[in-house]
Amino acid sequence: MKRLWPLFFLSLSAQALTLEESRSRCEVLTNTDVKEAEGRKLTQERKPVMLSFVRDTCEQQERAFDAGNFPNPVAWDNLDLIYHSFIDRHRVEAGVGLLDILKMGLTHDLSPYLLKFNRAPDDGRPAESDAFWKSPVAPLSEAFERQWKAAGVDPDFSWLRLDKLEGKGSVAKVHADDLRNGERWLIKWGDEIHSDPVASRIFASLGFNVDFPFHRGTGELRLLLGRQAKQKRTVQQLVNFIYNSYKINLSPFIQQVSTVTDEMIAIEPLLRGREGETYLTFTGLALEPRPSSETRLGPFMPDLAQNKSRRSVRGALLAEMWIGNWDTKTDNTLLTLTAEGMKASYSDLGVSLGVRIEKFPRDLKGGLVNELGWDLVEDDGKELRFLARMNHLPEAWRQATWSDLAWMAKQIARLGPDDLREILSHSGWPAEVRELYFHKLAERRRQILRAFQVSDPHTWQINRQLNIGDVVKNGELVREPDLTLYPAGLWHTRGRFRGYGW
Amino acid sequence: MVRILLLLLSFNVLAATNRVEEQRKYVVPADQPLPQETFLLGDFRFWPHDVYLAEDLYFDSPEGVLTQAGLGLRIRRVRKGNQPPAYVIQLKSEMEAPGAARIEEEERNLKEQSVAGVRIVDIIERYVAQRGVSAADGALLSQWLTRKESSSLAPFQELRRRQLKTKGLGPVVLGYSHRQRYHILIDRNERVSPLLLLRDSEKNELMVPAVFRKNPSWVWLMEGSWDEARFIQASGGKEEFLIKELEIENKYRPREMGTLLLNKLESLLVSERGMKVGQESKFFRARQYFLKDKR
Repeated sequence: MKRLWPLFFLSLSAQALTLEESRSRCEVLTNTDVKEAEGRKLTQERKPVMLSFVRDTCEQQERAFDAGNFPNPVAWDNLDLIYHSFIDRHRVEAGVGLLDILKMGLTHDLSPYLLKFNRAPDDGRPAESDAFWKSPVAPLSEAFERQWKAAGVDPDFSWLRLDKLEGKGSVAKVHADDLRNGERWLIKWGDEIHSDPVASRIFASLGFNVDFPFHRGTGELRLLLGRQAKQKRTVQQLVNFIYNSYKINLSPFIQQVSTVTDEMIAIEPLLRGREGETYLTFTGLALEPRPSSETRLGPFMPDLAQNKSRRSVRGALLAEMWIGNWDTKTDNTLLTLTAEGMKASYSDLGVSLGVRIEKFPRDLKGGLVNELGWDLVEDDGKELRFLARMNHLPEAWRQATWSDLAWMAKQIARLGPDDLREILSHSGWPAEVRELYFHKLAERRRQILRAFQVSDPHTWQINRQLNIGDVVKNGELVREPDLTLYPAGLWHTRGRFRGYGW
Repeated sequence: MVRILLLLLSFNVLAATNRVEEQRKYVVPADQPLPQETFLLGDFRFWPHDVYLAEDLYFDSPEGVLTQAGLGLRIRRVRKGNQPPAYVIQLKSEMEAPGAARIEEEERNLKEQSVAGVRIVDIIERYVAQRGVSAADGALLSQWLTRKESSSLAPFQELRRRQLKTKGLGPVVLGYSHRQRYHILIDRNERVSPLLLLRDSEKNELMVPAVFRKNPSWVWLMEGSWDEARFIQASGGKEEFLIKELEIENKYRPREMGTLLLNKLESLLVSERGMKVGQESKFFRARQYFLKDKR
């Protein structure tokens, strides 16, 4: 009976809807004459896929009205989600303000006191398979690959052409396009280029949708500088742009500067007509596609009424704590439209796997193995206290129950050592760092399973006192791996706001 | 020759602007057959590719409120090769001047639409097969248009924007059209011509049809559409109004150079093929024809 109450209230709230309300939202989403809604100026493009999806959804409501069974609850939920996501995107595009920074700081300080959960009986209810989560099939380590293949992404290239230069966010990045098909990609440099691919693969293996960040090692990608306003771009222009936008010196990340030769064109026909153009290779970077098959709307709104009670949204908290994600703000969730319908994804998971936050001077760095604690959970028998810090705690997570987290613990239990090793093999980290991460993530996983009394279907060898040569001593990285290969540094803590010390 | 060279040199550095495609319309003499094979007109090669068969039902009020507003509202059923028919409702504005852009708003998902329990596509199939809209089907379509007035479908939104009501609109003319599409190009290997000096188009190569990638000596200049349409009164009847027209769209970049090429082709179409520069839509001409007939 308890389970029926939410449905009852949902039907009550749906019944209270009028056709005019539904039409009003349809107008906001489809009519370019509507310039303001919910107190926000609407400046973002209403993309054709969104227009088509919304119009279909609105017509479903119209048909439901004609058939005397208005509202259609599925159509209303979809419309509600897209409406709030589209409007919230305007907040995201406006950027992070001082108040947001203060709020993030406060949540960072308070989160260890808020991330406490009383023991309670587990209701054992699984999450629904929907746009937010789907139970992945084994092998779990291939879930990420299955997702990008389904999205029509093809990362098998070695040439990209620099597209527009547009500075946004705090990670140094540029837009580029694939010479073969014009598909758009983001190239990122800095501390997230290892952690984001790993964290995203872990999330995919747990059943969540993710963006598709790929790590590319030294010299593996060639970036043609191309032209801007008919003028050939120069290396100096790119370096200046990155410095002016992100205060990061790109030079240590550049491996080589070369020009396209006739011999190269003979081998690679895509370069036809580009003889003499400058291209760069890098020490390492992350690539993230913006597939044309997907239309990105805005955040997926974890705190929307219809999402707050979703087990998969609430349970995601445990996964975030396991990987130590700090940058959990709503902006890093994403609602997309694809040919198959709606998809809710977790994006920008790179400020994780060991995060160092400095307040004075302000700084931030992820992917620091020494900052990822061996211990995640404190258990006094009555209450679990998680040793995690985040910059945002959505209401959905504050309302998460023991059963929500226990459900997630069971998903985490499915992931075995082979899966984790395979996932870490895509990180681009040196072998010693990868191995240390393996043991730390395994230990944190072990503590989660023990806390929620979930039996482990896999056998693990975990060593908290790991020693590897003179690089890892007693479970700690003690030396900086080669800075020419990892210019952002994997051991030192100077992060993006201090230019990684360069 | 020198003039063309100068024009080529002066315009190949102009940047493309962000405007809608430039389109021109020509009235084809009634005795000209529709060319189904490739042909040369001056230096321009017409390369036929797709054939479309379309049946268009146009709506208006008895007083011609849409015609007066310079708009055409139609339901189109279109077949391409052996593919099943597709259905679309479109609202198009008249060209305000030769070559001026037309507003076009459309909705392609008509399969789910119905009125009084009857599917719109079933009504379409019925009037296409019967070569005329029955009074009952006409009334259903009018009812559907009235019902859709406040919907978010793009053609109805545009009507609202122009403060035009759908109440009172009904089927007025029905057109059957055979449309042959052409790529209009120059083939650098074909013959000596001043156009050999034309630079490769700066159009995004991903937006260029695949056949041009297979034939690197071809340069895509324009897209042509030769249309032979027979219009009848929507309610049926034997009287037909035949329209033959050719539409050409600029595809070359820089766009300004494409305009010059369009001018050159236009002079050939007028002098060698006896075509006239047109402006009015097929609907407008057919509507005028039948209204005049009625008067």
